Amino acid sequence: MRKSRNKTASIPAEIKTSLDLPPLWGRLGFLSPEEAEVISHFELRTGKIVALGFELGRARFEEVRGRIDKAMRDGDGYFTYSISFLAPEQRALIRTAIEQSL
Amino acid sequence: MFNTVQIICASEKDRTILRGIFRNLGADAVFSADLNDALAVLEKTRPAAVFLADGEEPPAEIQLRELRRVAPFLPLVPLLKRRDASRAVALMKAGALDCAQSPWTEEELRPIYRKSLRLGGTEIELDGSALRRRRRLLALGLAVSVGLAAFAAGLFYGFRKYSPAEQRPRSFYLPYAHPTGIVAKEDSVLVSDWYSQGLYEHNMKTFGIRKVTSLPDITPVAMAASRDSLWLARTDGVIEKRLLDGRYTKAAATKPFKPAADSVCYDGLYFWTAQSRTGELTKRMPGDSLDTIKTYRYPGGRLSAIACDTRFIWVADPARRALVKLSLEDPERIVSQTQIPEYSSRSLKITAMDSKDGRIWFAGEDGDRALAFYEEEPK
Repeated sequence: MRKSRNKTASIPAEIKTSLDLPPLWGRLGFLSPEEAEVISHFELRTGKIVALGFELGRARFEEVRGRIDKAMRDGDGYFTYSISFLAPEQRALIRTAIEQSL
Repeated sequence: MFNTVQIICASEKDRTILRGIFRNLGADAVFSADLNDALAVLEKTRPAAVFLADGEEPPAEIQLRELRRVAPFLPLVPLLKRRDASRAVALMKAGALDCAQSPWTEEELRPIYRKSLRLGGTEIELDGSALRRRRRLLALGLAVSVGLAAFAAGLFYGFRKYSPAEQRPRSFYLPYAHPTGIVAKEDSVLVSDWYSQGLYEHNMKTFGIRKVTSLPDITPVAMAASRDSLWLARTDGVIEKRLLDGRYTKAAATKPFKPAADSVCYDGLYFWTAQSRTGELTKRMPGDSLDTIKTYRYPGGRLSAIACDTRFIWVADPARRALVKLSLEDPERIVSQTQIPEYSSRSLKITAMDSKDGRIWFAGEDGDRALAFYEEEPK
């Protein structure tokens, strides 16, 4: 697979955890078609399914479903969540958006 | 850590809340009523971060823009008055580091305040291998750290195990001259002295005196203890049973034994008395009257003091300059004997002994001084 790297300002993201609760927010620390790292000061449990909303370049993503595989708390009290994306079609869209933004 | 933060907030009520929160967070907070006020003092205060209350005039977006114009790398944190992710994301796009939600509390603001002093960026990539590589590096680093920690722990354990043990004194001179009984307790040692008619409780490690109990009505010549009693043998042959309360209250007394015992011990089941001049060892019932069960003759050289534990009777034998171990079942049989180094002083006279937790404690007179010492129990 072709490897490409780029670094951009941390992308703000909405994090929906449930239909009943108002969404939370954080930033994407890392993004690839398969997975993302989300940094947020809100605490979420491992294994939870979340829906992310963010913009990448001109593309806007709504409700990208993913599962929290890992959660790590840093010394400041922020959480870094490793989230693997669940829907193949959403992965393909992210891949396209990344290719366009690189 | 540089901890000055600037807070833009017009509401006096909110300022009071925020003042308390930032004080508890350890921040040096400088308050401004509005953007103009804040910009006027920004150069002077040089804050590490700016927190701005949302919902005031001018709007937070404008405040962010103007502040970024003056200080582009300054962390800016809007304080939202309700949880609104869309607005938070919009303000973050406009340059905010993060947004705090209402209600503003110390717990809510702590991570944001601390993070506002550090910044980073998003890495984007088509291939997720970089993230996995980073995780592998992290795992490797963790493994190396664990290895180093294990090595350090091993080093520490080895050092503790194989380095020479700390030399602690095992012999102590006593501030009185005529000890007659010794009882080792959990962390202290009790010594009776006939001349001063007192019981001295010493710190076991330093032998400093913790407590002195005067016994003006008796002259103790021997002492032993059980879990709940203290026995004191008197010069007239009577053995008193005393309570282990603060004043060693007298509970019972035997009739005078002839000859008077000058060493006593309790093996957990029976009471033993010894008479150094005759070399007699007497096994007794542990009741108040200490009735005789059987009398034995000491089979060694000369008996000067005895101690018991649940397995053996220990005898200090000045003729053999040794610690002699006798069987509890048959005290006329010597199990073993071990030299006592302190007997190298020809003037040493051991007058009292006790056995506790694998140590044999001795007290005695050496010339015009008295001393107490212990030996590890011979194997």
